[in-house]
Amino acid sequence: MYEILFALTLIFVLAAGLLLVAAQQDLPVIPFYLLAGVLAGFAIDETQLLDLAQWGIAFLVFLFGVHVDLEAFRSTGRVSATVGAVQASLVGTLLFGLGLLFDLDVLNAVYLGIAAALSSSLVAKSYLDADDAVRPTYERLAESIHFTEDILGVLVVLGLSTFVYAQTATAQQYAVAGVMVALALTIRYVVFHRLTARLQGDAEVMMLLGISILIGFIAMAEAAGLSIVVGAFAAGITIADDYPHSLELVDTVDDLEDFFTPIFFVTVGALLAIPTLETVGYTLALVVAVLVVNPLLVAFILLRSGFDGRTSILAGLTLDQVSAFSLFIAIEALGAGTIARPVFDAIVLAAAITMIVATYTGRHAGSINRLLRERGVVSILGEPLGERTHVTEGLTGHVIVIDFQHGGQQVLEACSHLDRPLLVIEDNPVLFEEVRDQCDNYVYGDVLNDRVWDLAQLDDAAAVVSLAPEYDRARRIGTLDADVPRFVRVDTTNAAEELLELGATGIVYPDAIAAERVGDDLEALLTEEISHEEFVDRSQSYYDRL
Amino acid sequence: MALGGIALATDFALLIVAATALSYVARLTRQPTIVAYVLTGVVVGPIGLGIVGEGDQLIEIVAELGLGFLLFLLGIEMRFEDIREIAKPVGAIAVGQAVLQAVTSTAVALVLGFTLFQSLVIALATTFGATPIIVKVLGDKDDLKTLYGKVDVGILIFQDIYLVMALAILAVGTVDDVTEIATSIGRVFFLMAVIGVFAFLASKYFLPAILRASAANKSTLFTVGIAWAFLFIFAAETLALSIEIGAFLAGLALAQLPYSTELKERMRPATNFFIAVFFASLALQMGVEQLLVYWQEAIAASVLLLSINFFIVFGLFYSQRFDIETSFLGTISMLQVSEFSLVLGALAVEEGFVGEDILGFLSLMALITMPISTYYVLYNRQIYRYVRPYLERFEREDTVEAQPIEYENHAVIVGYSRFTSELVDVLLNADASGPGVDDVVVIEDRAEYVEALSRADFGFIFGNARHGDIRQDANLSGAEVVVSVAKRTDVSLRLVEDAPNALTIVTATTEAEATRLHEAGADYVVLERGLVGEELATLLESLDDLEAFERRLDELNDRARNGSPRTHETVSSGGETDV
Repeated sequence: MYEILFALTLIFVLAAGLLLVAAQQDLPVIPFYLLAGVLAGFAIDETQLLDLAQWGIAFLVFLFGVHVDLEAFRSTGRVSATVGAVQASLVGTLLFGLGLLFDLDVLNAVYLGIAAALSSSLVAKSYLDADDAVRPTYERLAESIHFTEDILGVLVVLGLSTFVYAQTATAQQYAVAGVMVALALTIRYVVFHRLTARLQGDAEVMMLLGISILIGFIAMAEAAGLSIVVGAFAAGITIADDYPHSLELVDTVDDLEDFFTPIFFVTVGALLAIPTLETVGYTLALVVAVLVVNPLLVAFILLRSGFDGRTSILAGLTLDQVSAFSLFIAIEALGAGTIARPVFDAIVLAAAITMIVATYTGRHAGSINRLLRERGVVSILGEPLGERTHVTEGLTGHVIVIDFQHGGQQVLEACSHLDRPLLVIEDNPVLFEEVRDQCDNYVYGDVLNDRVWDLAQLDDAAAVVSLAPEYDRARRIGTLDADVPRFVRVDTTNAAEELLELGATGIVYPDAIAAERVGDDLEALLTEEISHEEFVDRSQSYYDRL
Repeated sequence: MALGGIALATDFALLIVAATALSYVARLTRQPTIVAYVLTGVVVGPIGLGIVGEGDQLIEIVAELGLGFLLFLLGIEMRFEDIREIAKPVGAIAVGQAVLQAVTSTAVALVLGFTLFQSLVIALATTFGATPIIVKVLGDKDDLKTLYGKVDVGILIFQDIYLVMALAILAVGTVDDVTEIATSIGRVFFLMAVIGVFAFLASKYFLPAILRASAANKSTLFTVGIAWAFLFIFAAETLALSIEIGAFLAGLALAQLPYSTELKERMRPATNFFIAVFFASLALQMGVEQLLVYWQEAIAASVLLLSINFFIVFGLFYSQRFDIETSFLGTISMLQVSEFSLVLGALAVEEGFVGEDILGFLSLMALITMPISTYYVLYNRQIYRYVRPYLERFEREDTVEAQPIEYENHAVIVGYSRFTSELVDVLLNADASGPGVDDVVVIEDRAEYVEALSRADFGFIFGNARHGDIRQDANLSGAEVVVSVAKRTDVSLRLVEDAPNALTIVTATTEAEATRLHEAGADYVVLERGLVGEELATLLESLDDLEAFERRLDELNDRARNGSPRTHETVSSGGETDV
């Protein structure tokens, strides 16, 4: 007991200390967990923690399964699935070949290839925090590519456990995996709601129910000789992540995960050995593949499938980190004794390095994009422009709308009411179809590109309305060199001030607009100018008109 | 092993699955889950099926952690200001009860044939009221806010202190010599005092800054909290104190800080999970003979203690000038053997004071009294109606009045933003006539707002509204107005459902969400996308009327730049626009 207590105390104290640094700098937590592991590795025997650590994997994959949202995936899914699959197989093959050149055996070369191919943010997390509804195209795109790669991760684990660690026939194990998924879906759609309805929201029993489902599926996986990752994933899709379970079951399991995942990542860190020259070599190869090849490759594929340069580059830049799945695979392989130590160390090191760098590139994605554009990289990769543009001859006095989806509909109606022509600039190929149906004039492309404004005939326009939620795009529109009233959307008072100083004509601050409208209505209600019914009607009338 | 080093321990998994099944049944029969957990150990352990044995390392670790975390949470919950107003009568009842019940319990145990030593342990262990029953059942009945609910919870808080003292004494271990006992107890209390002083100083000078820094990220606050608990647990273990004491003091240091409720709620699932393992593991080391050896005594003691204790506690309530109804309801809620009996019993076994058979006896008493008491707590008012004719003649004037609850006739604001801050102004500036509010409480879990909101002249609760305790702290169900800008629709839905009588204003980001919220009963659903579109449409329509256009433009820009214009002005001039 004493040793375990000592180990846990050390782990959490180190992790807490390093997380405070991470929180101050707003950095991702996993590299700091790994670093805590490296430090703790000097003082503790990490093997005794493996029992607790595997719960970390189980919960992570379980929650990933819980948050899988097939409906949302369908909208941008086809493109992303292709992009993810193509990128993963190309880079995977590349590193696999490199591994063979390094004189690794086939299996270790496969591990190297997988680590380079799968690049996603930490599974469940990115989906969890995805509740900001006003999100730019590249984020949605990146999210579904991540999702594709996480699914690939599950498949890879399944493949490894059937081909590499299998004790029984492969076909049989695939059958078991298939049965598990079928069972999971059956429970989800037939049993789950009946089971939980009787609990009347008792979070404690709900949590135990969730854990038991997890245990049950893991036990099935183990009995069939499959990885627990497969079981945990199947358990995840068993749980419906809808209201009220999202509050009573999913959130509580989520809180539990926070206890076990640090133990997992710290244990992984503690398993690291002092790097040899060989380790450094593999690490370097992985880092280059993940940080440079992956983003450029993804950007290239996206550009080729018709996305504009900015969206492509920004989406590519979200894919420059080693996946948590690669860590699961590495640690399973380590347990099975099938991975060479230098390869294992390289994967963990590369994960830590790329996760930190990815935070940096994510934060400075805008300037990296500008830099790449200035250096001509975007045009080398090939940006489509002008192909999907329709502007009526002699268009003048028109209103230019950017990011139509965030409130453009009413602008369109107002314009048609006033007989004023409207032109939409859109950078999302999926939404673009819709725009094309509704509007006569449209330009497909990125507002940071000057050509787009030429095509949109900015100088002849009556007004520019930017509904884009991102500051760098709003800023670009605020500083356009033209004598046309420009309205830009902002989300903070500071941004409003800055953009007005930079020359924007009007500020669209949704929170402030809502505050005025709802505040007035509420005031009227409180002073009994209007009745409760009228108050409710006013609310309804706003979105009924949509 | 299936795959490398990755395989879940079977015994542990079996224990959890069995606990789930039994607690599911418990929930259907409205029984507390703790009964299900204790039964789990009986069913799967050597007494029952014998599929889970003693000595699984993972079970032991998790059980031990569970106990530590439980005490940590008890420490966090010790917010003295919650019971300040009724501290005097509550303290008197708690102390009186502890002394009188200890005496009677010892006497009963002696009469039943236990040795003096066993009787003392039994007495020590059977004084507590069971938190899981009282808090859970009263919470479900929405009775925690009533006077008797508050008094009971207050007594439980006092009992926590008593529990920690008892743990400290048991931690001394078996010693023969009287002077040795004295020095050992002295040593324990000295070390507790040292750790306590350290905890106090930390909560004054060190923790506020650390927690404020860590509140920026949801994982960090949790990890820092756990690390803090482990630090104390480890220190206590190293100093040969019981780890529960360390955990309790760690929690106490956090209790008075604004982050305590959120942290507690974040730690609750892990604690619930671990403590389930603790209670389930109790019977794993027991044979059937140890559980049942004193079954007759257990029944006799249950009946005797419940009846004697009723008169003791009722008398104490009555002596503190509570009215008859409060006294009665408060008393019968406290009548059962607590989960702490098992905690103390387990520790007494571990330290060698008593044998497994006494733990078996205590478990049996818990298994008898808890299920029964659940029903009389659940139907306490019906029972009271039945006995009232006999008690009425004790009724008197000048009894303790129910204290007003903290937030009443108030608005709950979930999420602080440009939007909600302006609505707060509207609500607070409104005339007292009409459906205005007296008070506003803001729930917000982003660290950057903590300082400003703590200084504001309205209430502030740090935390996420997804937690039931946070909603309860804000007295959501009693609110007049609820405004939510929670990003998660499920949280807003829960808020709307929890406050069916309030005026609810919530934001939505898509039409589907808006419809969902409206159907759930939200009065006013704000769809920012729609409002923005309308505003722009109005603006564009005035594009040809330059004067009107610029007037509206200036208004918009001023609002965006300068914040709410309602703050410094009267209501009438603020609302000139379109009402």
